[in-house]
Amino acid sequence: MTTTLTIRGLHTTIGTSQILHGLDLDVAAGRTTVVLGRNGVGKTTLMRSILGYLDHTGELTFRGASLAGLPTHQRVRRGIAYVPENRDVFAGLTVAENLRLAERRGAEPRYELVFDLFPELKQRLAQTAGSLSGGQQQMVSLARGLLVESHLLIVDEPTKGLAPRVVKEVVAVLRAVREQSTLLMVEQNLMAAGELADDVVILSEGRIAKTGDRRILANREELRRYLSVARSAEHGVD
Amino acid sequence: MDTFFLILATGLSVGALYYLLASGLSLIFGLMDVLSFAHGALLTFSAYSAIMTMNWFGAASTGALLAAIVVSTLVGGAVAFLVEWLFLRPMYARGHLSQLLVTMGIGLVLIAAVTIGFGPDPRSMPLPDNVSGSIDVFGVLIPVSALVTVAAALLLHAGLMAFLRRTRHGLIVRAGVENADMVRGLGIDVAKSFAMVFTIGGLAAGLAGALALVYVRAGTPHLGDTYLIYAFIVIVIGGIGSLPGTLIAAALVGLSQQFANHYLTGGAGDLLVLALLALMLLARPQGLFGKTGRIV
Amino acid sequence: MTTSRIVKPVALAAVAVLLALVPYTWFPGFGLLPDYTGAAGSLSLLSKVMIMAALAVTFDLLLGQSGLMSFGHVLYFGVGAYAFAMLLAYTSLTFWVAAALTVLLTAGLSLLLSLVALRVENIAYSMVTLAFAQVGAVAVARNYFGTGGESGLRLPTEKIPALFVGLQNTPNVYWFSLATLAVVVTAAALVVRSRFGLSLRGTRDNALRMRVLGYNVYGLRLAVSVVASTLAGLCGVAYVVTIGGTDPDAVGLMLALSLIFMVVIGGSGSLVGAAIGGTVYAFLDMRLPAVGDGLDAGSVPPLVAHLLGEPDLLLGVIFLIVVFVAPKGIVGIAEAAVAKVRARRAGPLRVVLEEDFR
Repeated sequence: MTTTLTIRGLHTTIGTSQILHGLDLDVAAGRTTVVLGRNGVGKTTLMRSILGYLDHTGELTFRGASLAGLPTHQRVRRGIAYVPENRDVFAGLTVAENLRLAERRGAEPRYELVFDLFPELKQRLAQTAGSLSGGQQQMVSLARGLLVESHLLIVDEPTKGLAPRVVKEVVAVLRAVREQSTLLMVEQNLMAAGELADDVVILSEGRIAKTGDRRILANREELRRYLSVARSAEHGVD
Repeated sequence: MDTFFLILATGLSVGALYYLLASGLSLIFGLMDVLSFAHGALLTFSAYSAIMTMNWFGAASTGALLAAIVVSTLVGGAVAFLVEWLFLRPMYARGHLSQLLVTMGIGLVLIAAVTIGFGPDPRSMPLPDNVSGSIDVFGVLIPVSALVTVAAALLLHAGLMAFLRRTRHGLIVRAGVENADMVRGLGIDVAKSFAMVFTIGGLAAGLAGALALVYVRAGTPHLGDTYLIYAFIVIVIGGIGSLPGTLIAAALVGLSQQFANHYLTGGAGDLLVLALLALMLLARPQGLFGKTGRIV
Repeated sequence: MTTSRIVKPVALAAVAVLLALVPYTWFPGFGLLPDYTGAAGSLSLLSKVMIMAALAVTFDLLLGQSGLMSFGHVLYFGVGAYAFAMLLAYTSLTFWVAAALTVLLTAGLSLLLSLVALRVENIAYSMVTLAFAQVGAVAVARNYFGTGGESGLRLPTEKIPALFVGLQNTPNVYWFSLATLAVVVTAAALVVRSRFGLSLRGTRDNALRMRVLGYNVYGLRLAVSVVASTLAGLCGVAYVVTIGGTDPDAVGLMLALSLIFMVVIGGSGSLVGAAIGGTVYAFLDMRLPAVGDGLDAGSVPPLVAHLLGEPDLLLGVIFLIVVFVAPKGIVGIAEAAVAKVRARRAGPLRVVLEEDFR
């Protein structure tokens, strides 16, 4: 089995607090890896480190080549697509403009594929992204990530804050996507994670606490307790 | 009645000068969060190149003035390009404070260069008669210089809006003003767009330098300082990153200033502008058109 | 930490005593001073240096301690100087009454303007404060309210207490400046060491978290703005005493921006650092031209002498050098200070708030 992304000894510090403490991770080619963990253990930090948004040390090897020292836009051009945690659509731009920004020289924009997955967007091309619902914005964000072919799609909490019906739609889209692409995603919704994951990684305190295949998700109740107990406890401190 | 129209024209042309400086600053700031203190000095520096051009031609002809305006604009753009490339680019990884100190340092050096080259005293700008005079517009005498300045600002505005709305670079700038990180996340080199925007800002500042001379008729090493300050005020009132807001705010500030200074008392205009700013912050802290991210 | 709570004040007091003794000494100036240490010219220069150091300390309360990048702090220094000079010149108020009234006036003005300026954050706040200060500068430069315009305002000698008048009383002026510096540093240190100071650093490091924890961030910032401005007003009064009047530079853009330089070069977030930064800046500002003039034709090429005689050029170059060559000297020192404070407060909390990602 080949790996698309290999991470060795990743340390990331934001400001003065160290978030990731020497993390090792392999993302297998053609599979979907889901990252779980309590709030604040560094899931988003991990994604943003891979993309080069945050200063970090350690080795990142993507398709056999090191990503060291590359700025974000060059990592993306190597074939990493990114759908961020809060969707981050350009609210003042139209849907069409949001998509056009994802076009890249030397790569064929796959508008047909995108409109197949999100027929709704086709009708809303002239609308500003800021006027869309949360679910629609998530679709714009996913569509941007899919417009150009990539070797790794990083999706950070795609179902966060969405209504159950919309969660189902997003999961359905991602099920279609995972057939063609290597996926690395953060997903706290265990139902969604269960439908998508091939491999599961649990983060704790900036390190990998547990890795395994989707069978980890079988004991959903215990996992949910692990994730949510921690959540409420952490909100209480300072 | 004539006085009224004269002050109207003056107010608008002062506002136009503010817009020339503020439009570039607003985009620069919107895109990279860099507040450039070098732009006032850039205006001054370019203005002196306009004076030199006029003196080189000898006679104050219309052609010489046009040449001076072009030279001044290009000098502003060229200096801005170099400043961005040599001094600002290495600072992106660092914080605001470093960028601020760099633009301040550049500003000081540019002004010192002007002082060393031309001395601290005002240098007069020779103007052709047809520009220093007035023309009759519907029975009202309007200074030609005011018309030129206002026309330049409107043209720049139209050009910038077309650039932002119709080109891919403009699209990147608009998106970058909203969220530069996400633009990078789509594989786009935002720094490149920023270099371009900074240079455009420099061109506009250079144009403002020549036109400021058409308006005040003499250059001093601190010519740009006051314009820079009012440009900042205009940006805040108009809403950071919004060019239409900047345009309206520039006219508003220029007019309030000139009318109050004339009809009330000297200095009242500056206080009125300050009151406008305070009112705006109390009522609408995001500025006239400021909605996070909207620039067109 | 407990030792530094005692050691630092003792060390500062010792420095104050040493400084107080300077008028009785007669050391050579080594080019830093125009004359021997106890000479009137040197004392007068040192007075100005101490006022700049004090002003930098007041600004550190904003930029260093609270993260408020005000470009308009110079306004309160200028208002302090101009209100004081104008009260003396145009009214029959006595020296000390005028001084007290000036300080009150600065506090009131600061309260009013900060109420407005703090409505916005970050760079908008910087621009607004800059705008306020610059309108002040314009009013002064254009001589709107009897400010004397470009040439400044000279104080009528009879309005100044005799103990500050004349060459032989320069030591008294010097001690007045030293006292101002001592008052400012003490007041600022009390703020920094109080719970209030701790909360301020909290708002600087993470305003969102402080809000979530129920702190009134706006109120905290308003309070520190008034304190810092009032102290700056006091510095303005001392400035008038030192130079026997005011000049437009006291509200100028140059000084406004230089304040940032002073605090940054000394290490943002440290009062002593700010004082050192103010000292360095004041020496550069006042002695560089003299160095340029002092070089005789022939000893260096005329162009070099000419360039040295242009202090703005050198200051600009020094700005750039500091940023490029000594980035740790700027950002590093500040970050170390932040780290110290954070480590002290961090405790068990590991949650990183959204804001940290942006």
